[in-house]
Amino acid sequence: MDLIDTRHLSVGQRLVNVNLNLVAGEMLGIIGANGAGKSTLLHCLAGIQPYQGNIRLAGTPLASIAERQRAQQLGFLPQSSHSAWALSVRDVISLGRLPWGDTNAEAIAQAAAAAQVQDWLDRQIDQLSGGQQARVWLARVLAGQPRVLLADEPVASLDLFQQQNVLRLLRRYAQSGRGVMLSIHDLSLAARYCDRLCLLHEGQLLAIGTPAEVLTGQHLQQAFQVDAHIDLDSDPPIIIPR
Amino acid sequence: MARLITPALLALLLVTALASLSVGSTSVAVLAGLADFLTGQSSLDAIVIGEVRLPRTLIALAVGAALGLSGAALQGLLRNPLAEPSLTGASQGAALGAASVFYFGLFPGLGAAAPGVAGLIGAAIALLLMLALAGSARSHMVIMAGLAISTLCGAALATVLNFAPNPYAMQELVFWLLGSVSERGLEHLWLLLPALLVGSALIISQRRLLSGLSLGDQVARSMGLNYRNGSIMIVLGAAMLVGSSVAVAGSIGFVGLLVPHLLRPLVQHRPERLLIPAALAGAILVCLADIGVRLLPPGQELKLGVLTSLLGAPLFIWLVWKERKRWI
Repeated sequence: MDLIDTRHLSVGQRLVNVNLNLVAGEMLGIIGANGAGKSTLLHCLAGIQPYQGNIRLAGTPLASIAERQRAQQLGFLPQSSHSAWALSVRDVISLGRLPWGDTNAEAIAQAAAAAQVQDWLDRQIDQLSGGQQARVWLARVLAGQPRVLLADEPVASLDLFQQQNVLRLLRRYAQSGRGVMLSIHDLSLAARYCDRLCLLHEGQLLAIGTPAEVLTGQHLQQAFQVDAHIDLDSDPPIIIPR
Repeated sequence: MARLITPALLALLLVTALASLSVGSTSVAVLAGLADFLTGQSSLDAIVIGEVRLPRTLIALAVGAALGLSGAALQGLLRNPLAEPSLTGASQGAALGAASVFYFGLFPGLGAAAPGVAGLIGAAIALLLMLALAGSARSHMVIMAGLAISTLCGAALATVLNFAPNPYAMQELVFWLLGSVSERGLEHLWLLLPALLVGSALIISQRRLLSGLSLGDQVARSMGLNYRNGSIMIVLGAAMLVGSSVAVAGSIGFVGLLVPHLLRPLVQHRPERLLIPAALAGAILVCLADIGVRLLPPGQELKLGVLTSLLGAPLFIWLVWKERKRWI
């Protein structure tokens, strides 16, 4: 059964009649130009954006699931995170347990280890660099052990090393039988790490399928208005505008 | 450290309360007087403690707790360390309500409790206007609408002062506005207590929301927390607390702003853990300030609100200075 299944998902003009699915063990990349509706799509799934249409979570309509149960199943990592207070890294990660209402020490330790932040647990979040903070925000979502992890541009502000780190971590998370849906701008990274891609254009679903099916010259021309050099056979895959 | 803070503050609160009962112009046996009062005997000690010092002490504690708790809650909700209880407009509304008593002679049947009752009504009206204007409890809308309603009430208050019927009414009004817990009886405490209990319960029921809001309202909502209803509860609770305390004791500045700010490092900056310690420390601070007022040489009384502002302002300047060093 699909972990996520959307039917006729619409949000005004920002998202129009989007049908897609996410299967267990899969990493699905949402790509598209700025304003194409990537964040809006993730916000609908994360329960912070009202929508028309149907979303099913493992077969159950999302609208019929209580907020808290929904939050236990769907973890959301927003595009930019910020802590209003100088919380310790440990406290930030424990916030991921809020939907469960517990402080599952094992889940928190696992999340910290997976995101490689276990050495800074007692440091204050505002004393870490941007890249280090990004790993802590991710650890916060991992601590909730969601069945589906939604990440809005998780690698946008990271250096090359951290980008790889985060994407490998998300891939491992997906392969453990859960699902990951992330929006991403770097098409080479998308082709390399995602099992399937979903290309949005002006709120509509332009293409969904394997990287080879979606990353065609014609699609990229239509979605980004660029003529791109596409070489998916090289390792790693290369997609750059000419 | 964080675990010890609440018991330590509770112990300090008890000591402060006992000290407050024993400070005054006549010397009385505190514990004996208290025991006599509670068992209904009418000794001199019982009258001094029960009729004068106990209400004063309890009101100081309740007002301080209300200000500290509402400050901590609003700073957590608005994610702004400079948020202040009066931001909701409720304190100006309460001041206006009470001022109307002095001006129009409202509720003559209620006697000394009339300013308190009118203050509560004023706070409630200001709060409803603020929420209606803000439309939601989004933080910037609450700040803007609160400022607008505060300004409106402030203007109305200035008008009342401007057209005060006689100099005595005006003096009485101004002194009342300066903030004090003296010459209040237990009937004032009964006005304050229900609002204190309901307001605190509303705020404390939203601890998880305050905790989740540390990472912003998007994250809080994605974690299944009801931001819309929860934030209205917090604003409502805070306004009840500050409205009722201003209604009973006038405006007592800086407590709601400074107490949460000073305690935050002691609770690892966690907004939900700040609530109870801020209430306790607020209670201690206002009670200590009131003891200070009573220890000053007799003559023209220094008002409690004036003393807290005199002490609070330098502390605030020091905080600004410390913050400035972080950025330069």
